[in-house]
Amino acid sequence: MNETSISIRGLKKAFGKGAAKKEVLKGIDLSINSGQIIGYIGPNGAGKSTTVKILCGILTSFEGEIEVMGLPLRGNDIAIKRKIGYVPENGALYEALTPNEYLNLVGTLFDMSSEQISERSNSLLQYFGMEKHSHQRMDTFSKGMKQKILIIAGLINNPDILFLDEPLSGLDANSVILVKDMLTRLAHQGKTIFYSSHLMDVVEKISDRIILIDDGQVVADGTFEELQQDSKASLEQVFSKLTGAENRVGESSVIDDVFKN
Amino acid sequence: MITVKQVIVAPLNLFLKTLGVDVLHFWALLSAKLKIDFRRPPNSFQSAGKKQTLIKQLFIYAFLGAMVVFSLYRISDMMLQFSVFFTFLIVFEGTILLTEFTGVLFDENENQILLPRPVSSRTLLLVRLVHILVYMSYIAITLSLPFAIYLAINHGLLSVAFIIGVLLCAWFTLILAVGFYMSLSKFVSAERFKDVLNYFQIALAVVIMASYQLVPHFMEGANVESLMFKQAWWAYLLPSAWFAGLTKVIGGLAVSSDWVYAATALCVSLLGSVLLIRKLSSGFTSIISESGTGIQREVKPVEIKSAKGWKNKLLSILCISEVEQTGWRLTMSHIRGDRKLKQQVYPMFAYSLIMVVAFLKPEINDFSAYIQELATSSKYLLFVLTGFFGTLGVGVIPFTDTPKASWIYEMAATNKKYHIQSGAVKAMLFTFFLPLQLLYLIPIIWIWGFAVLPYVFLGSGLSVVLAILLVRIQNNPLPFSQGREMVNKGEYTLRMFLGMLMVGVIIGLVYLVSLAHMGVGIGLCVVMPLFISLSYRTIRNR
Repeated sequence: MNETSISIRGLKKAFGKGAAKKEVLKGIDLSINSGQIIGYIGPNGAGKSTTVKILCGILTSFEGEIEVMGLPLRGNDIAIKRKIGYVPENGALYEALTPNEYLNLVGTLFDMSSEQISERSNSLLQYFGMEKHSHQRMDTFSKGMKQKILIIAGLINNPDILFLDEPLSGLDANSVILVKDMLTRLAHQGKTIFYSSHLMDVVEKISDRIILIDDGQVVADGTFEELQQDSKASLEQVFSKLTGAENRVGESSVIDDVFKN
Repeated sequence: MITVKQVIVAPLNLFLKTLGVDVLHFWALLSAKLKIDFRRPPNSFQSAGKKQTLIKQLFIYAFLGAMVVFSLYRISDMMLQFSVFFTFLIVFEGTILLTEFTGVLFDENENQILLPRPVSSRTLLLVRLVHILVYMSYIAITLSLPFAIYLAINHGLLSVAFIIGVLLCAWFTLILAVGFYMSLSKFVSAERFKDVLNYFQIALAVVIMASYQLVPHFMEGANVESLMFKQAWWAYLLPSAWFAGLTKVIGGLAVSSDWVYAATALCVSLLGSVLLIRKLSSGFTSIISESGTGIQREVKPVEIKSAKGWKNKLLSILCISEVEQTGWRLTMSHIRGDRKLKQQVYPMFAYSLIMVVAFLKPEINDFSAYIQELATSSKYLLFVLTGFFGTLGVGVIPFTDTPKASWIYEMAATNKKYHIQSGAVKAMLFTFFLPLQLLYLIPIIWIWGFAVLPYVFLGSGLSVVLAILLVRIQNNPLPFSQGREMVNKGEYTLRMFLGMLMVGVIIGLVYLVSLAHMGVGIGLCVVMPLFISLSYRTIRNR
């Protein structure tokens, strides 16, 4: 349970060159153990999604060293991708396909047999109450229904590490409960959950460890209790304090100015 | 029991394995992509059925192919006949590839679906190539069908050999262009690649069109019926000759040199595939990965409310309503920021310039005499003809990667919805047509003087009217409301060729006017803005 599943040393990422260069990650160092649920939080543009995309192989150029399940990410991306699952924030689906067709495609890309794919996708579709929609095209689905398919696709290969980037986007309250329960169970099975979000209440409840990044750097790392520092503050309050947002709330009269009659 | 499918697929799978491609992944992805292409989105604002669109397109391609046959049947030498046809095919397919499929090849919309899965770069690249090849093959076969029928009537089974040659030629054109792209990626960072690609596309368009000019040199000053294919050393360097030789070899009509051509065609196509997929595909994932999230560009804010500034003053003159101005600004923003739009429209400048040179055939050796002779002719009209390329951008206005944003049209509280479309057309013509016309004025005034300007303006004005009326006649959807779908690919190039045919009629009319008193030309020029204005009204009043 205490094996290191993800090791990140000096991770930097910049977009553009010269005057247009923008450093999104400015040197991230992390060591994450198996069986942990990591809440990866930060304000918009802090570099959360960029980190996840690098770890999942969506972004291929970066500075620093990353090891996943003991394998360096560079040069082993295919082997690593076999062991991970990824749930993006929105719409990364072939929407003209049905859930069955899409999950079958994703399963095939993980070299799963059709029996395995069928068995696992049926169970997960049932878990999320989507079995009756399995033969309907996804371009008719609501945002929440599509999100459920994204979660199922992220789990279809029974990954050792699951990366989730705002996975609860568009889900109803019941589905959120299902996902939270599911993530806890997966962590108990020894899987690593890397949960990137800005929904503080969910992160607060399910995470074993919370990593807060701001402006491309880790500004806090610990359990929720450690982040509270003996106060009774909620995670939202801790977040506001550490990212300087609390100073802005209430001070601005922009809204009043814009919408006054 | 072994099925026919297995007999066909088994060697193909073996070849895929040789290329280092995962066979299962390849077929799964390709079949998913083709399935997606032919499923009509049930909730979009799409008006025409996809199959209908494709059939209409293919019918027109067959018509173009038939026109080529008319020019080929007079050539008695089969080798030359085939070479000319394959040259036409390579240029046509190359044009489509540059303007319409390059965006598909480096599309980053699927990044979040495919890149986190264990799919190799080789498989990803080959799936994209074969996906494009399916559509290029549709077009190639339809273009070739009239010639294949002609061959079937005169030479029987040679037509089958010809179709095999056509398919291999389509593949060759594809790997040639993509090989260029991937080689380029070795020298340019993945982030900058797509920007550089825009310029490179124009350069490649120049190369393809320039090579097209080799064909007339075969025929120069000779009686077409008696023309023979010239067996020179350089002929072995011509891809069109390779495929001509291959067709003859498969058709059982080969002479000794044809075997060399055929072997070259096969070797270049096969070895090119191996080189491209095995050696050059590594950069492919980097390109789509890094260009997907993109460079954070500093975009100049567009000043909307202020009535000051020359741009806003110009807008208030050119556009008749605020909504039309919005359509203009929307289009200008897309022109600045949409790489795929640029990839389609920018090569048209190159085509236009090359076509002018090709039509005028400048004599470098005795340039002053050539110019003097030119000044006595009506060849200034050729500038009008090729200037029409500048209007083609109008055809891509409806397309975008984010058609879902078009919900705004349904919600907008205005009864001037189509003013957005007329504003968009104006912006497109202002950006792409007007500069080309101004550029052409320099050589026109230098060679023919100011006296021909009324006819030039008349021709340009009629080209604009034609471009506007085509938007109305074809019921083009509102700006940036339609996805760039595979089944629509090829339509833009088709418009280019059909447009050229229609502008031919305009040129004829202008020529007739030029024979009359000059006052007629000037008079028509004076009323031309009225015609243009009425044309825009047909769009606005839809």
